[in-house]
Amino acid sequence: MAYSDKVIDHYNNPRNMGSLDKKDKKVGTGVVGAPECGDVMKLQLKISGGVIEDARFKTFGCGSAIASSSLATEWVKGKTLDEAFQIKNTEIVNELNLPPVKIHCSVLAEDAIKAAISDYKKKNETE
Amino acid sequence: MEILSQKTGSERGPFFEKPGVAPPCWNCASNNVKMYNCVSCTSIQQFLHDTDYFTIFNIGYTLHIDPENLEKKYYELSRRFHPDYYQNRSKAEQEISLENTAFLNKAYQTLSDPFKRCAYLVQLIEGDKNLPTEVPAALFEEIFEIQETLETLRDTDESDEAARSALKTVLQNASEHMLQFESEEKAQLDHLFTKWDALETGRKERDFSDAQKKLLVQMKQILSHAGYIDRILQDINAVL
Repeated sequence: MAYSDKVIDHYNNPRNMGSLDKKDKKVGTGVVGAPECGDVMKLQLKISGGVIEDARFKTFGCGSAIASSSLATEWVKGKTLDEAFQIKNTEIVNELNLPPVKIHCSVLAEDAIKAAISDYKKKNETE
Repeated sequence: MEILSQKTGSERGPFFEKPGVAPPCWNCASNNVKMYNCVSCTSIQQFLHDTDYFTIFNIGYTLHIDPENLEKKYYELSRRFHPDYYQNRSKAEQEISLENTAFLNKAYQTLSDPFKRCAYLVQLIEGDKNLPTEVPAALFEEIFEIQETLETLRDTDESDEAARSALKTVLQNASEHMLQFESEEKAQLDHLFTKWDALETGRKERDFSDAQKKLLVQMKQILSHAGYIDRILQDINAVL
């Protein structure tokens, strides 16, 4: 099955690719992977006053994994932590028209958002 | 997947070995079915729908497998089911011979590889549960670093021989380190296999002990790393 136009667009013009400073207290980092295919994804959020003001990703994987994480960074920007936590992988599947074999890529993106948020929370609760 | 339904692998054996274990012949309803063939009408018999790879080889749910024994059993069963022998038989029998052969081949391939064998056992016992997606930070960091080096190499101009060969040396070392890590993981898995098999000899019916379930958790951890290691090694090999 061919990739949808939206996947190809994100693949060719990934949004928010790159890294933020992992040590910054305002930055939450989520790193997740798909053990079945070996794809790895890093998603970072910069949070200020409970709102996500910036997001970056770095994904080494298939087109769908790259598109899912690229889309995720677009969506989370401007959202509160609670709102971002609500993002469901099915929304990513619908937006990108992912075929069933690529659903795990969207799960990865959802997991990465959640991991980044909990990393941020952990970082900020201790002090 | 409900595979470990009532009896253990060794009791069901190749399930037609003992009389009364096999269901009646699909063709003539005779109860006299032995080793995948009906004694009355000679029809070939299908694997039970809920059989599993361990059961058809009659090796119990053990994780250390003697490769020679496995191969020997594989050839025996292959001969028994080979589609060539059923060319002049009914369409239904031809289909069964094909299906059994396909199942057998998959079983042999899966059980021949320690990682696949272990993953299969985990899946049998726990159902279709996914492997854990969290990975030790150290491994992830290493993978990201290697991937970034690979990216740099791809972006480095073909003419810049010096830079390219320096990057390739870095990748070569990374690949060796990954192989080292992989062999350590294999040794750990092997150790868990030994523990599992020791507990397996005393097991009754389908009660896997808590100790065995704990071992499964540890095995899953190692299995979940294998995909990343394979992938990164492939990616490195593609450019070296």
